[in-house]
Amino acid sequence: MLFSPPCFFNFHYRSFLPGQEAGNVNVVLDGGFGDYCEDPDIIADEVSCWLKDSQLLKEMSQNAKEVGVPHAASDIAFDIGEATHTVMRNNIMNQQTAR
Amino acid sequence: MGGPLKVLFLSADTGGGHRASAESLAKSFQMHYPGTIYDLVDVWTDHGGWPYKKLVPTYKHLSANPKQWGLFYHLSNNFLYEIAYDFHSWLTCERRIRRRIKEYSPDVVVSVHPTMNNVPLIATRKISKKEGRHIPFFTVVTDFGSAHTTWFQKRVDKIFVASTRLAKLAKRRGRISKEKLAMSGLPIRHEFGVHSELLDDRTTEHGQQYQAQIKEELGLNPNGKVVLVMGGGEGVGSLSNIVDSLYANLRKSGVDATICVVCGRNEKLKQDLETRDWNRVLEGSNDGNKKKRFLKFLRRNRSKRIRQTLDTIQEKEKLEEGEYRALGNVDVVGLGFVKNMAERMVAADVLVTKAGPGTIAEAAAVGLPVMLTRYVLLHHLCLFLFFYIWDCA
Repeated sequence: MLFSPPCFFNFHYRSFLPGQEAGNVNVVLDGGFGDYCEDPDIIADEVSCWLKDSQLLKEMSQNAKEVGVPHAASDIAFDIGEATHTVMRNNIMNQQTAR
Repeated sequence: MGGPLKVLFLSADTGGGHRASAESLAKSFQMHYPGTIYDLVDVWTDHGGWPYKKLVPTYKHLSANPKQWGLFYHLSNNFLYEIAYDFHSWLTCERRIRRRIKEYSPDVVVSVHPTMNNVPLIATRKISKKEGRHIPFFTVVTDFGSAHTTWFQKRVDKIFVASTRLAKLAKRRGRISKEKLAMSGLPIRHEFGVHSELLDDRTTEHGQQYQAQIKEELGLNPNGKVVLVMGGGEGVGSLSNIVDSLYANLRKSGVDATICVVCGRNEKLKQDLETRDWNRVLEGSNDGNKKKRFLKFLRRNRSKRIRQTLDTIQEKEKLEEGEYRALGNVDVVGLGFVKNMAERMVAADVLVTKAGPGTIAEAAAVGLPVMLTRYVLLHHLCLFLFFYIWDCA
Protein backbone atom coordinates (compact mmCIF):
# COMPACT_ATOMS: atom_id res chain seq x y z
CA MET A 1 0.00 0.00 0.00
CA LEU A 2 2.78 2.41 0.95
CA PHE A 3 4.37 2.30 -2.48
CA SER A 4 1.17 2.18 -4.43
CA PRO A 5 0.73 5.02 -6.94
CA PRO A 6 -1.91 6.83 -4.87
CA CYS A 7 0.50 7.15 -1.96
CA PHE A 8 3.43 8.09 -4.16
CA PHE A 9 1.61 10.87 -5.99
CA ASN A 10 -0.40 11.91 -2.95
CA PHE A 11 -3.56 10.94 -4.81
CA HIS A 12 -6.66 10.41 -2.78
CA TYR A 13 -10.25 10.02 -3.66
CA ARG A 14 -10.40 13.73 -4.36
CA SER A 15 -7.39 13.43 -6.62
CA PHE A 16 -9.02 15.04 -9.62
CA LEU A 17 -8.51 18.37 -7.89
CA PRO A 18 -5.36 19.94 -9.19
CA GLY A 19 -2.55 20.99 -6.86
CA GLN A 20 -3.28 22.41 -3.49
CA GLU A 21 -7.07 22.52 -3.87
CA ALA A 22 -7.44 19.00 -2.45
CA GLY A 23 -6.15 20.30 0.88
CA ASN A 24 -8.72 23.09 0.87
CA VAL A 25 -11.48 20.50 0.51
CA ASN A 26 -10.18 18.74 3.61
CA VAL A 27 -10.49 21.98 5.58
CA VAL A 28 -14.18 22.17 4.70
CA LEU A 29 -14.92 18.48 5.27
CA ASP A 30 -12.98 18.25 8.52
CA GLY A 31 -14.51 21.54 9.66
CA GLY A 32 -17.99 20.12 9.04
CA PHE A 33 -19.30 23.13 7.17
CA GLY A 34 -19.74 21.73 3.69
CA ASP A 35 -19.14 19.02 1.18
CA TYR A 36 -17.37 18.40 -2.13
CA CYS A 37 -18.97 17.11 -5.31
CA GLU A 38 -18.56 17.53 -9.08
CA ASP A 39 -21.80 16.17 -10.43
CA PRO A 40 -24.40 18.94 -11.02
CA ASP A 41 -27.40 16.68 -10.20
CA ILE A 42 -25.92 15.52 -6.93
CA ILE A 43 -24.82 19.04 -6.00
CA ALA A 44 -28.40 20.23 -6.57
CA ASP A 45 -29.81 17.33 -4.61
CA GLU A 46 -27.56 17.93 -1.66
CA VAL A 47 -27.96 21.73 -1.59
CA SER A 48 -31.71 21.26 -1.74
CA CYS A 49 -31.52 18.86 1.26
CA TRP A 50 -29.46 21.36 3.23
CA LEU A 51 -31.95 24.14 2.59
CA LYS A 52 -34.80 21.94 3.82
CA ASP A 53 -33.04 21.13 7.10
CA SER A 54 -32.64 24.39 9.02
CA GLN A 55 -31.01 22.58 11.97
CA LEU A 56 -28.27 21.23 9.66
CA LEU A 57 -27.69 24.69 8.18
CA LYS A 58 -27.42 26.08 11.68
CA GLU A 59 -24.86 23.48 12.72
CA MET A 60 -22.82 23.96 9.55
CA SER A 61 -22.88 27.72 10.01
CA GLN A 62 -21.60 27.41 13.57
CA ASN A 63 -18.87 25.02 12.41
CA ALA A 64 -17.86 27.50 9.70
CA LYS A 65 -17.60 30.28 12.27
CA GLU A 66 -15.19 28.15 14.29
CA VAL A 67 -12.90 27.80 11.27
CA GLY A 68 -13.20 31.42 10.10
CA VAL A 69 -10.83 34.14 11.28
CA PRO A 70 -12.46 37.39 10.08
CA HIS A 71 -9.73 39.68 11.42
CA ALA A 72 -6.74 37.63 10.32
CA ALA A 73 -5.33 40.39 8.08
CA SER A 74 -5.48 42.93 10.89
CA ASP A 75 -3.87 40.54 13.39
CA ILE A 76 -1.06 39.64 10.98
CA ALA A 77 -0.40 43.28 10.04
CA PHE A 78 -0.24 44.27 13.71
CA ASP A 79 2.08 41.38 14.55
CA ILE A 80 4.42 42.20 11.64
CA GLY A 81 4.23 45.93 12.36
CA GLU A 82 5.18 45.55 16.04
CA ALA A 83 8.02 43.14 15.20
CA THR A 84 9.31 45.58 12.54
CA HIS A 85 9.25 48.51 14.96
CA THR A 86 11.22 46.47 17.48
CA VAL A 87 13.78 45.64 14.79
CA MET A 88 13.96 49.29 13.72
CA ARG A 89 14.60 50.41 17.31
CA ASN A 90 17.31 47.76 17.66
CA ASN A 91 18.87 48.91 14.38
CA ILE A 92 19.10 52.51 15.65
CA MET A 93 20.59 51.35 18.95
CA ASN A 94 23.14 49.19 17.16
CA GLN A 95 24.13 52.05 14.86
CA GLN A 96 24.54 54.41 17.84
CA THR A 97 26.68 51.85 19.67
CA ALA A 98 28.83 51.36 16.58
CA ARG A 99 29.54 55.11 16.42
CA MET B 1 2.02 51.89 18.64
CA GLY B 2 4.78 52.78 16.16
CA GLY B 3 4.88 55.21 13.26
CA PRO B 4 4.31 54.64 9.55
CA LEU B 5 6.13 51.85 7.77
CA LYS B 6 7.48 51.23 4.30
CA VAL B 7 6.32 47.75 3.31
CA LEU B 8 7.37 45.75 0.27
CA PHE B 9 4.96 42.97 -0.69
CA LEU B 10 6.13 40.19 -2.97
CA SER B 11 3.39 38.63 -5.06
CA ALA B 12 2.31 37.80 -8.61
CA ASP B 13 -0.94 37.60 -10.52
CA THR B 14 -1.13 33.83 -10.34
CA GLY B 15 -4.65 33.42 -9.04
CA GLY B 16 -6.61 36.14 -7.29
CA GLY B 17 -5.72 35.06 -3.75
CA HIS B 18 -2.15 36.30 -3.48
CA ARG B 19 -2.81 39.86 -4.61
CA ALA B 20 -6.05 40.06 -2.60
CA SER B 21 -4.19 38.95 0.54
CA ALA B 22 -1.47 41.53 -0.05
CA GLU B 23 -4.03 44.31 -0.59
CA SER B 24 -5.90 43.25 2.52
CA LEU B 25 -2.70 43.25 4.59
CA ALA B 26 -1.70 46.64 3.14
CA LYS B 27 -5.04 48.12 4.21
CA SER B 28 -4.59 46.72 7.70
CA PHE B 29 -1.06 48.18 7.90
CA GLN B 30 -2.45 51.59 6.96
CA MET B 31 -5.14 51.28 9.63
CA HIS B 32 -2.73 50.28 12.39
CA TYR B 33 0.10 52.57 11.27
CA PRO B 34 -1.39 55.59 9.43
CA GLY B 35 0.85 56.99 6.73
CA THR B 36 2.26 53.55 5.84
CA ILE B 37 3.27 53.23 2.21
CA TYR B 38 3.68 50.01 0.31
CA ASP B 39 4.57 48.55 -3.04
CA LEU B 40 3.59 45.23 -4.55
CA VAL B 41 6.31 43.68 -6.68
CA ASP B 42 6.35 40.64 -8.90
CA VAL B 43 10.09 39.98 -8.82
CA TRP B 44 9.98 37.26 -11.46
CA THR B 45 8.06 39.10 -14.17
CA ASP B 46 9.99 42.33 -13.66
CA HIS B 47 13.48 41.08 -12.78
CA GLY B 48 13.62 37.33 -13.37
CA GLY B 49 15.41 35.46 -16.11
CA TRP B 50 13.93 32.68 -18.21
CA PRO B 51 11.82 30.65 -17.31
CA TYR B 52 10.86 32.64 -14.19
CA LYS B 53 9.79 35.77 -16.07
CA LYS B 54 7.13 33.64 -17.78
CA LEU B 55 5.49 32.82 -14.44
CA VAL B 56 2.19 34.64 -15.03
CA PRO B 57 1.48 33.41 -18.60
CA THR B 58 2.55 29.89 -17.59
CA TYR B 59 0.16 29.95 -14.65
CA LYS B 60 -2.65 31.18 -16.87
CA HIS B 61 -2.05 28.30 -19.26
CA LEU B 62 -1.86 25.72 -16.46
CA SER B 63 -4.95 27.01 -14.66
CA ALA B 64 -6.88 26.59 -17.91
CA ASN B 65 -5.57 22.99 -18.10
CA PRO B 66 -6.15 21.47 -14.66
CA LYS B 67 -4.63 18.13 -15.63
CA GLN B 68 -1.31 19.74 -16.54
CA TRP B 69 -1.46 21.95 -13.46
CA GLY B 70 -2.02 18.93 -11.22
CA LEU B 71 0.88 17.06 -12.82
CA PHE B 72 3.22 20.05 -12.54
CA TYR B 73 2.20 20.70 -8.94
CA HIS B 74 2.73 17.13 -7.77
CA LEU B 75 6.00 16.67 -9.67
CA SER B 76 7.44 19.94 -8.34
CA ASN B 77 6.22 19.56 -4.77
CA ASN B 78 9.31 17.80 -3.43
CA PHE B 79 12.71 18.39 -1.90
CA LEU B 80 14.76 17.68 -5.05
CA TYR B 81 12.81 20.19 -7.14
CA GLU B 82 13.16 22.75 -4.37
CA ILE B 83 16.96 22.41 -4.29
CA ALA B 84 17.29 22.66 -8.08
CA TYR B 85 14.85 25.58 -8.31
CA ASP B 86 16.44 27.48 -5.40
CA PHE B 87 19.94 27.08 -6.82
CA HIS B 88 19.08 27.98 -10.41
CA SER B 89 16.92 30.99 -9.55
CA TRP B 90 19.55 32.24 -7.08
CA LEU B 91 22.29 31.93 -9.71
CA THR B 92 20.36 33.67 -12.48
CA CYS B 93 18.19 36.28 -10.74
CA GLU B 94 19.40 37.14 -7.24
CA ARG B 95 21.48 40.19 -8.20
CA ARG B 96 18.64 41.90 -10.11
CA ILE B 97 16.12 41.15 -7.36
CA ARG B 98 18.52 42.53 -4.74
CA ARG B 99 18.91 45.73 -6.74
CA ARG B 100 15.12 46.12 -6.87
CA ILE B 101 14.64 45.60 -3.14
CA LYS B 102 17.53 47.96 -2.35
CA GLU B 103 16.05 50.63 -4.62
CA TYR B 104 12.79 50.61 -2.67
CA SER B 105 14.61 50.48 0.71
CA PRO B 106 11.76 48.89 2.70
CA ASP B 107 11.43 48.66 6.48
CA VAL B 108 9.96 45.18 6.07
CA VAL B 109 9.48 42.62 3.27
CA VAL B 110 6.33 40.46 3.23
CA SER B 111 6.03 37.55 0.79
CA VAL B 112 2.55 36.26 -0.03
CA HIS B 113 3.66 34.02 -2.90
CA PRO B 114 5.12 30.48 -2.80
CA THR B 115 7.84 31.24 -5.36
CA MET B 116 9.10 34.43 -3.69
CA ASN B 117 10.65 33.23 -0.48
CA ASN B 118 14.13 31.85 -1.07
CA VAL B 119 15.88 34.24 -3.49
CA PRO B 120 14.24 37.46 -2.21
CA LEU B 121 15.13 36.33 1.33
CA ILE B 122 18.79 35.83 0.36
CA ALA B 123 18.77 39.24 -1.34
CA THR B 124 17.20 40.92 1.72
CA ARG B 125 19.73 39.34 4.07
CA LYS B 126 22.60 40.57 1.86
CA ILE B 127 21.20 44.13 1.89
CA SER B 128 20.81 43.94 5.67
CA LYS B 129 24.42 42.90 6.05
CA LYS B 130 25.72 45.61 3.73
CA GLU B 131 23.64 48.42 5.21
CA GLY B 132 24.13 47.34 8.81
CA ARG B 133 20.40 47.29 9.55
CA HIS B 134 18.22 44.25 9.79
CA ILE B 135 15.31 44.21 7.32
CA PRO B 136 12.78 41.66 8.59
CA PHE B 137 11.33 39.19 6.10
CA PHE B 138 7.94 37.58 6.72
CA THR B 139 6.00 34.94 4.80
CA VAL B 140 2.21 34.85 4.89
CA VAL B 141 1.01 31.54 3.43
CA THR B 142 -2.12 32.22 1.40
CA ASP B 143 -3.10 28.56 1.05
CA PHE B 144 -5.41 26.78 3.42
CA GLY B 145 -5.32 23.00 3.56
CA SER B 146 -2.03 22.22 1.86
CA ALA B 147 0.86 24.24 0.52
CA HIS B 148 3.76 23.84 -1.88
CA THR B 149 7.15 23.06 -0.40
CA THR B 150 8.66 26.35 -1.68
CA TRP B 151 6.56 28.33 0.83
CA PHE B 152 8.67 27.26 3.79
CA GLN B 153 12.09 28.86 4.38
CA LYS B 154 13.45 28.44 7.87
CA ARG B 155 15.54 31.66 7.78
CA VAL B 156 12.52 33.99 7.59
CA ASP B 157 11.73 36.09 10.66
CA LYS B 158 8.27 34.58 10.97
CA ILE B 159 5.85 32.55 8.89
CA PHE B 160 2.08 32.90 9.19
CA VAL B 161 -0.14 29.91 8.39
CA ALA B 162 -3.91 29.52 8.30
CA SER B 163 -4.50 26.01 9.62
CA THR B 164 -3.07 23.32 11.87
CA ARG B 165 -2.51 21.21 8.76
CA LEU B 166 -0.16 23.86 7.38
CA ALA B 167 1.55 24.33 10.72
CA LYS B 168 2.38 20.61 10.73
CA LEU B 169 3.55 20.82 7.12
CA ALA B 170 5.77 23.82 7.88
CA LYS B 171 7.40 21.96 10.78
CA ARG B 172 7.85 18.78 8.80
CA ARG B 173 8.89 20.11 5.41
CA GLY B 174 10.43 23.49 6.14
CA ARG B 175 11.78 22.56 9.57
CA ILE B 176 10.36 25.83 10.81
CA SER B 177 10.83 26.21 14.56
CA LYS B 178 7.86 26.80 16.87
CA GLU B 179 8.97 30.37 17.66
CA LYS B 180 8.91 31.34 13.99
CA LEU B 181 5.51 29.82 13.29
CA ALA B 182 2.27 31.76 13.86
CA MET B 183 -1.27 30.41 13.45
CA SER B 184 -3.18 33.35 12.10
CA GLY B 185 -5.97 32.46 9.70
CA LEU B 186 -5.99 33.53 6.06
CA PRO B 187 -5.84 37.30 5.43
CA ILE B 188 -9.21 38.11 3.88
CA ARG B 189 -10.81 41.35 2.76
CA HIS B 190 -11.48 43.93 5.46
CA GLU B 191 -15.23 44.15 4.74
CA PHE B 192 -15.67 40.51 5.78
CA GLY B 193 -14.40 41.42 9.24
CA VAL B 194 -16.88 44.32 9.39
CA HIS B 195 -19.85 42.20 8.27
CA SER B 196 -18.81 39.30 10.47
CA GLU B 197 -19.05 41.59 13.51
CA LEU B 198 -22.40 43.03 12.43
CA LEU B 199 -23.83 39.61 11.62
CA ASP B 200 -22.23 37.91 14.63
CA ASP B 201 -23.95 34.50 14.52
CA ARG B 202 -26.37 34.01 11.61
CA THR B 203 -28.24 31.32 13.52
CA THR B 204 -29.39 33.74 16.25
CA GLU B 205 -32.40 36.07 15.99
CA HIS B 206 -30.14 39.08 15.62
CA GLY B 207 -28.12 37.34 12.88
CA GLN B 208 -31.25 36.38 10.97
CA GLN B 209 -32.56 39.95 11.19
CA TYR B 210 -29.28 41.31 9.85
CA GLN B 211 -29.28 38.74 7.03
CA ALA B 212 -32.88 39.66 6.09
CA GLN B 213 -31.90 43.35 6.08
CA ILE B 214 -28.98 42.70 3.73
CA LYS B 215 -31.22 40.55 1.49
CA GLU B 216 -33.67 43.45 1.22
CA GLU B 217 -30.87 45.91 0.45
CA LEU B 218 -29.76 43.64 -2.38
CA GLY B 219 -33.29 43.41 -3.74
CA LEU B 220 -33.77 39.78 -2.70
CA ASN B 221 -36.75 38.14 -1.00
CA PRO B 222 -35.93 38.38 2.75
CA ASN B 223 -37.98 35.25 3.52
CA GLY B 224 -36.63 33.09 0.69
CA LYS B 225 -33.41 31.09 0.61
CA VAL B 226 -30.42 32.32 -1.38
CA VAL B 227 -27.88 30.10 -3.12
CA LEU B 228 -24.75 31.92 -4.27
CA VAL B 229 -22.91 30.23 -7.15
CA MET B 230 -19.38 31.37 -7.96
CA GLY B 231 -16.82 30.43 -10.59
CA GLY B 232 -18.37 31.97 -13.68
CA GLY B 233 -15.02 32.97 -15.11
CA GLU B 234 -14.35 29.36 -16.04
CA GLY B 235 -16.71 29.17 -18.98
CA VAL B 236 -20.32 28.39 -19.65
CA GLY B 237 -20.54 24.58 -19.60
CA SER B 238 -19.98 23.23 -16.11
CA LEU B 239 -21.37 26.13 -14.09
CA SER B 240 -24.39 26.41 -16.32
CA ASN B 241 -25.22 22.74 -15.73
CA ILE B 242 -25.01 23.23 -11.98
CA VAL B 243 -27.39 26.20 -12.16
CA ASP B 244 -29.84 24.18 -14.29
CA SER B 245 -29.80 21.26 -11.86
CA LEU B 246 -30.19 23.58 -8.87
CA TYR B 247 -33.13 25.36 -10.49
CA ALA B 248 -34.95 22.13 -11.36
CA ASN B 249 -34.27 20.46 -8.02
CA LEU B 250 -35.27 23.43 -5.87
CA ARG B 251 -38.47 23.96 -7.83
CA LYS B 252 -39.44 20.29 -7.63
CA SER B 253 -38.61 20.20 -3.91
CA GLY B 254 -40.90 23.17 -3.27
CA VAL B 255 -38.10 25.42 -1.95
CA ASP B 256 -38.55 29.17 -2.52
CA ALA B 257 -35.11 30.43 -3.44
CA THR B 258 -33.02 32.82 -5.48
CA ILE B 259 -29.93 31.47 -7.23
CA CYS B 260 -27.40 34.27 -7.61
CA VAL B 261 -24.71 33.39 -10.13
CA VAL B 262 -21.51 35.43 -10.09
CA CYS B 263 -20.47 35.47 -13.74
CA GLY B 264 -17.57 37.94 -13.37
CA ARG B 265 -16.32 39.04 -16.74
CA ASN B 266 -18.11 36.14 -18.41
CA GLU B 267 -20.74 38.19 -20.29
CA LYS B 268 -21.70 35.17 -22.38
CA LEU B 269 -22.84 33.22 -19.33
CA LYS B 270 -24.72 36.23 -17.92
CA GLN B 271 -26.63 36.73 -21.16
CA ASP B 272 -27.21 33.01 -21.44
CA LEU B 273 -28.82 32.90 -17.98
CA GLU B 274 -30.97 35.96 -18.72
CA THR B 275 -32.43 34.48 -21.89
CA ARG B 276 -32.76 30.84 -20.80
CA ASP B 277 -36.13 29.09 -21.04
CA TRP B 278 -36.42 27.87 -17.44
CA ASN B 279 -39.62 25.87 -18.04
CA ARG B 280 -37.72 23.82 -20.56
CA VAL B 281 -34.93 23.29 -18.03
CA LEU B 282 -37.52 22.00 -15.55
CA GLU B 283 -39.07 19.64 -18.09
CA GLY B 284 -35.73 18.32 -19.27
CA SER B 285 -34.31 17.60 -15.81
CA ASN B 286 -33.89 14.13 -14.29
CA ASP B 287 -33.56 13.29 -10.62
CA GLY B 288 -30.11 11.75 -10.97
CA ASN B 289 -31.01 8.70 -8.85
CA LYS B 290 -28.93 6.28 -10.89
CA LYS B 291 -25.88 8.53 -10.66
CA LYS B 292 -26.50 8.98 -6.96
CA ARG B 293 -26.41 5.23 -6.39
CA PHE B 294 -23.34 4.83 -8.62
CA LEU B 295 -21.36 7.56 -6.90
CA LYS B 296 -22.51 6.76 -3.37
CA PHE B 297 -19.33 4.87 -2.49
CA LEU B 298 -17.23 7.91 -3.38
CA ARG B 299 -18.82 9.92 -0.62
CA ARG B 300 -17.44 8.06 2.37
CA ASN B 301 -15.60 11.14 3.73
CA ARG B 302 -18.74 13.26 3.96
CA SER B 303 -19.55 14.30 7.54
CA LYS B 304 -21.90 12.01 9.46
CA ARG B 305 -24.32 14.83 10.14
CA ILE B 306 -24.74 15.68 6.43
CA ARG B 307 -25.13 12.01 5.52
CA GLN B 308 -27.80 11.64 8.19
CA THR B 309 -29.84 14.51 6.74
CA LEU B 310 -29.52 13.22 3.19
CA ASP B 311 -30.63 9.75 4.22
CA THR B 312 -33.61 11.08 6.20
CA ILE B 313 -34.77 13.31 3.36
CA GLN B 314 -34.30 10.58 0.76
CA GLU B 315 -36.36 8.15 2.85
CA LYS B 316 -39.05 10.80 3.29
CA GLU B 317 -39.08 11.41 -0.45
CA LYS B 318 -39.48 7.69 -1.12
CA LEU B 319 -42.56 7.58 1.11
CA GLU B 320 -44.02 10.65 -0.56
CA GLU B 321 -43.31 9.38 -4.09
CA GLY B 322 -46.23 9.99 -6.41
CA GLU B 323 -47.87 12.52 -4.08
CA TYR B 324 -48.53 16.03 -5.39
CA ARG B 325 -46.02 18.64 -4.27
CA ALA B 326 -46.32 22.37 -4.99
CA LEU B 327 -43.45 23.76 -7.05
CA GLY B 328 -41.15 26.27 -5.35
CA ASN B 329 -40.63 29.81 -6.61
CA VAL B 330 -37.09 29.94 -7.90
CA ASP B 331 -35.38 32.93 -9.54
CA VAL B 332 -32.02 32.89 -11.24
CA VAL B 333 -30.05 36.14 -11.17
CA GLY B 334 -26.87 36.53 -13.24
CA LEU B 335 -24.45 38.96 -11.62
CA GLY B 336 -21.52 40.58 -13.39
CA PHE B 337 -18.39 41.66 -11.56
CA VAL B 338 -19.38 41.78 -7.86
CA LYS B 339 -17.74 44.37 -5.61
CA ASN B 340 -19.88 43.77 -2.51
CA MET B 341 -18.96 40.12 -2.07
CA ALA B 342 -19.15 40.27 1.73
CA GLU B 343 -22.78 41.41 1.56
CA ARG B 344 -23.57 38.75 -1.04
CA MET B 345 -22.13 36.06 1.25
CA VAL B 346 -24.05 37.39 4.27
CA ALA B 347 -27.28 37.27 2.24
CA ALA B 348 -26.60 33.73 1.00
CA ASP B 349 -27.65 30.55 2.82
CA VAL B 350 -25.37 28.23 0.84
CA LEU B 351 -22.35 28.94 -1.35
CA VAL B 352 -21.47 26.76 -4.35
CA THR B 353 -17.89 27.45 -5.42
CA LYS B 354 -14.60 25.91 -6.47
CA ALA B 355 -12.07 25.04 -3.79
CA GLY B 356 -10.14 28.33 -3.65
CA PRO B 357 -8.59 29.13 -0.26
CA GLY B 358 -9.66 32.81 -0.17
CA THR B 359 -13.31 32.09 -0.92
CA ILE B 360 -13.47 29.30 1.68
CA ALA B 361 -11.88 31.54 4.32
CA GLU B 362 -14.29 34.38 3.50
CA ALA B 363 -17.32 32.08 3.65
CA ALA B 364 -16.15 30.67 6.98
CA ALA B 365 -15.72 34.18 8.38
CA VAL B 366 -19.44 34.90 7.87
CA GLY B 367 -20.56 31.38 8.86
CA LEU B 368 -21.67 30.35 5.39
CA PRO B 369 -21.93 26.60 4.53
CA VAL B 370 -20.17 25.72 1.27
CA MET B 371 -20.59 23.14 -1.46
CA LEU B 372 -17.25 22.80 -3.23
CA THR B 373 -17.14 21.72 -6.82
CA ARG B 374 -15.03 21.50 -9.88
CA TYR B 375 -15.69 20.45 -13.43
CA VAL B 376 -14.67 16.81 -13.62
CA LEU B 377 -13.59 15.21 -16.85
CA LEU B 378 -14.21 11.57 -17.68
CA HIS B 379 -10.51 10.73 -17.79
CA HIS B 380 -10.12 12.09 -14.24
CA LEU B 381 -12.84 9.75 -13.05
CA CYS B 382 -11.25 6.79 -14.87
CA LEU B 383 -7.87 7.69 -13.35
CA PHE B 384 -9.46 7.82 -9.91
CA LEU B 385 -11.23 4.48 -10.34
CA PHE B 386 -7.94 2.88 -11.40
CA PHE B 387 -6.08 4.20 -8.34
CA TYR B 388 -9.02 3.49 -6.03
CA ILE B 389 -9.12 -0.16 -7.06
CA TRP B 390 -5.31 -0.37 -6.89
CA ASP B 391 -5.31 1.08 -3.39
CA CYS B 392 -8.03 -1.28 -2.20
CA ALA B 393 -6.31 -4.32 -3.68
